[in-house]
Amino acid sequence: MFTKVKANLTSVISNVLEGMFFTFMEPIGAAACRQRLVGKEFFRIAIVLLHRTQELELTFFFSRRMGGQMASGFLGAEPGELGDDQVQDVLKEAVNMIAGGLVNTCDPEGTMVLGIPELIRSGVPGEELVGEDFSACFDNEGCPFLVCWQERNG
Amino acid sequence: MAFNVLIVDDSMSIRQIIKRVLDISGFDVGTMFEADNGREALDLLEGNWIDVVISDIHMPVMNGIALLEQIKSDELLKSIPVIMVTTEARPTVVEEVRRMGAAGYIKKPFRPEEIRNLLQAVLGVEDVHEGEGESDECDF
Repeated sequence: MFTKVKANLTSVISNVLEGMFFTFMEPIGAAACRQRLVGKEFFRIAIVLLHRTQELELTFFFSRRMGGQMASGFLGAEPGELGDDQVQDVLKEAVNMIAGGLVNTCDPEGTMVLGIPELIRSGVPGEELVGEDFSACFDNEGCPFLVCWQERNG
Repeated sequence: MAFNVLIVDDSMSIRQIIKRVLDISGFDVGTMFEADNGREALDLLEGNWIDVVISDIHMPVMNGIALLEQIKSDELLKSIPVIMVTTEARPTVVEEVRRMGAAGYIKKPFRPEEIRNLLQAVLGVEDVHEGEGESDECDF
């Protein structure tokens, strides 16, 4: 069931981030991505999609700079004017829109249940992420944007 | 005549965006109430005169579908139009909220004129931006 979700992830991310947050992404390889992690901080936000007894957890890592730019563009504020709480709120909404776009695209019958985005941690140092196994990596003006997925059976 | 609007969304950013859309759309808005979830919205509906509710679906504590159900089953509240603004656009969900009595449905991401047009239709007001280009209809 989640195969289609994974296959559509990149296009849905691009649609939402470009259309609503004026943020343009370029898919890059994991190796190139790892080189850009050091010295950066990330917001880690997760959301769960449920299908019967299966669940897919999507975890998104937004760099602090990219998150700040997305939030200022979305709210019409000057960069640096917004606090972390406002940036996190905008990023959770972005994750909500991405996950919503995925279920709209991949599950028109409405068999999947969409969870609520959750901030797992802010200020995650890029150094901590170098060894992670990312499912999708993107570049935004030199800043990496990363996604991991994890499938579980209940 | 000024309208009192209740915006229900667990995202303060979305509440802020909708408030800004209402501000720039030229509606005569009296008070804009805000709630973080359906439960808070019901508390506000009990103590205040609200002309229209604009609600998200996915929220903690009480979601938008449960809120819609409560409003439409309450004799005093059921005439208040409820507009759903949500990432959910699956036909099954759209049909469910229509059947439950929602006045309209807007999918996130949305364009400001979608909210403006639907509010005009729901509240029965004249075009507050006469002379502008046509925009897509977005109600049921």
